[in-house]
Amino acid sequence: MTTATGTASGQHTLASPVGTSPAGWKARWRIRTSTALLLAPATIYFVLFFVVPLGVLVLFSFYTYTNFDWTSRLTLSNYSQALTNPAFRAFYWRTLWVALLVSAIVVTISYLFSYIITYVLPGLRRALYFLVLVSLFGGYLVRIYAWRTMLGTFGIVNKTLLAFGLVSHPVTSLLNSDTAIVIAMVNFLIPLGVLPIYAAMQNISPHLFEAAVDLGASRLRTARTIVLPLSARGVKAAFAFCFIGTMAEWVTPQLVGGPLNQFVGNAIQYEFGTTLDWPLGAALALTLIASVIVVLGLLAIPLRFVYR
Amino acid sequence: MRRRPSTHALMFAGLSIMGLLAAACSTSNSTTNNVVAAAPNPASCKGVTLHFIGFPGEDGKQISGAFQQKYHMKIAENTSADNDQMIAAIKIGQPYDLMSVPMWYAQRMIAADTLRPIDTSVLPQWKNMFPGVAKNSLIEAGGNTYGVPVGWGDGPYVYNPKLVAPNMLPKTILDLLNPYWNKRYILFNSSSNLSLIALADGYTAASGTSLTKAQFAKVTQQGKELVQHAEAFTTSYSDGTDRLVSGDAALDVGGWEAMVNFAKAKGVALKYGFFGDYLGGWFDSLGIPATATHSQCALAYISWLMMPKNEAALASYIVSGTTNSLSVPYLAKSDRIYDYSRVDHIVTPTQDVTTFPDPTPGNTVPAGDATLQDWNNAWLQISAGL
Repeated sequence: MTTATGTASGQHTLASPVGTSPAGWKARWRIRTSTALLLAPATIYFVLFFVVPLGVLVLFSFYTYTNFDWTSRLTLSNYSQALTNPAFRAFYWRTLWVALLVSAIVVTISYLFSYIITYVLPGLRRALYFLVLVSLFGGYLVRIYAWRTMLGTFGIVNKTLLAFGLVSHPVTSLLNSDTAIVIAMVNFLIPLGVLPIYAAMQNISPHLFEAAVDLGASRLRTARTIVLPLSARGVKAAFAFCFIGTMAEWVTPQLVGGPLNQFVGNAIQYEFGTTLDWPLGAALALTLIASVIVVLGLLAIPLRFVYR
Repeated sequence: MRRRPSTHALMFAGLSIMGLLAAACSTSNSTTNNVVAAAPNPASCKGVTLHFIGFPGEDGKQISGAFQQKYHMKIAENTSADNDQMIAAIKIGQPYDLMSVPMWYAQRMIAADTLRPIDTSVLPQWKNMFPGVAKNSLIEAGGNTYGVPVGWGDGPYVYNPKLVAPNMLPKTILDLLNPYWNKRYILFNSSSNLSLIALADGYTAASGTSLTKAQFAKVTQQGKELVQHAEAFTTSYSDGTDRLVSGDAALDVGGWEAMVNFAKAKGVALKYGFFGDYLGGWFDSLGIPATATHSQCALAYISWLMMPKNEAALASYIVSGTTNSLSVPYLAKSDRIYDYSRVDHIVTPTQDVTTFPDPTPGNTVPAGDATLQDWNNAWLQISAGL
C-alpha cells in the first residue's frame, strides 16, 4: 500500500511502504515486476507501431538511392536535398503558412464556440457540444468530397451567389485553391479544436467568477483575466492538434487544391511513389516532423511568459 | 539525482534495438528473381490460392470461375494498390503471386527487383500475341521478359462536350496554353505530361523521349505554363470522370475511353478525342512478383488467361483491347472499342499503329541527355510553382 504525503512545497509524493530489508527489496521487486507487466502490452504496441517504424524511417533517410533502388551506403545527401532544394522549401513554406492560418482560424472559432456554450448558453451546452462532435462521425473523405461538391463551379455556393445576383458568372476560384483547402481543413479540425478548449473551460471553478463579479469585474475583464489564462492549456493543445494535422496533410490539397497548392506531404508522396526515392522521402518526412516540433516550440515560448 | 533505468525502460530499449535490426535486415534484397520457366501445369496447383496485387479486373478473377473450379484454385485480390503501392508491397516482402505491370512502371518495377523474368517459350499462346505489346522493350530487360500483356488502349483526352466548343478541341497539348483553356483542364501529377509537350515540339519523333538539355529546358518551361493554367491534378480516372461530370473541368488530358461509360452511369455524356500528334497508347501486363510463393501456378494461370477466348473475355472485362490476335473473333461487337481490321499491328480508330512510346526516358539515356531523374526533378519544381 502506498500513502500520499504532503511536502513543504505543497506537492504530494508517494511514500514507499517498503524499507531496505530483504522483505522490502522483495516487495519492491514485486511492485516493479507487476508494473512492468501491466505496462508491457502498451509498451510493445508503442515500440512495434511507433518506435520501429520511426527507426526504419530514420535508417532509410541515410540510405543512398540509385536508379529506383537503394543501398545501405549511408549518406547525408538526402537531408541536404530536403533542406536546400528550392522546390521542397517552397512546399514547406506553403504548408507552414496554411497550417498556421488553419490553426489560428480553428482555435479562434473553437474558443468562441466553447465560451458561448459554457458561459453564454449553458442550457444548450450538451446539445451544441453534441452537434460539434457529431461532425466527427462523418468520414473524412466524405466531407472533403462534400466540400468539392459545394465549392464547385456548379455547386451550391455558386448557385446561391448567382441566385442573389452577387456574381454574374460562377466563381471558379473557390475550388482547387488554397481557399478550398483552408475551408475543408477548418471544417475537419473544428471538433478537435473544441474538445480540449471546452474541457479546459469546464475545469475553471465557478467560484472564481463569483469572486470576480463580487469585485466588480466586467464580463470582458473576467474573460481576459480568468478564463483565458486558465484555458490556455486547452488553447495550446487545440493549436497543436490543428497545426500537426494540417502540416501532415496531403489528401486535402490533392482533392480540393489546385496544381500549385500542393503541400510538403504531396512532395513526400511523390518521392516515395513516383520517383521511388524512399531515402529522400524519409528525410523529407523526418524534416517535417522536426519542423513541426521546432515551430510548436517557438510558439510555446511567448505563451509560457504570458500565461504561466 | 540520476535514476536507474527501470525494468520496462530496459525492455523498451531492447525491443527497440531488436525492431530496428529486424527492419534493417528487411531492407536487404532477399527476394529470388530466377526465371519462371517450367511448362505450366495447373493440375499440380490443387488447393493453391494465387494472391494478386494490382488494378481491378486485371487478374481475371471474374472471368476465370470455371478454371478456379476445375483446378481447385483461388484468386485472392488486393486491388486497392496503385503503382507505387505495388512496388512498395513487393519491396517490403509481402508475398504476392501475380501483379499488374503497367507499361509506364514496368522498367521501374524491373529495376527495383520486384519482378521475376518469365520464360515465354513455355507459353503456347505467346506466338499469337500482338507484337506491339509482346515484343515491347518496356517489359524487357537483359534479354528477359517480365510481363505478359493482358490489355491495351490508346491515349485519348476526355472532355465534356457541353463545356467545350467543337472548334476549340486541342490538336496538341500546347493548344491548352490558349487562354480559352485557362483553368479548364485537369491532368495527372506526372512528369510524363512533359513527353506530350516534347511530342508537340517535334523533339521525340526521332529520339524517343530522350531529349537534349536544351530541348528539355524548353519543354520544362512549357510544362510550367501547362501546370499554371491547369485547374487541378487528378488522382485517378474515376476522379477525372467526377470532375468532368460535375463541370469543374472541361477536359482531362490523361483520359481513358472507359470514362465515357463511367460518366454515362452518372447520366452525363462525355466524349474522347486525340491530340493529333499523339500516337499514345498504354498496355498492362501480368507479372510474377519476386516474392511469389506459387510462381509455377501463377504462370499456369497466366497461360490459361492468354487463351484466345479467355483473353477476349478479360480484355472486354477491363474495357481494353485484346493482346492476343486470335482473340479478336471472340470479342462481342459492343466490346470492340478498337479497330482490329489490320491485325498485323494493333490499331486505333485514329491512327495506324499504336507504338506505345515510353512517356518518360528509360533508366539510361545517351550522355548529355536529360535523365529520368532530371524529368522528375523538373516536374517537382514545376508543381512547386518555381
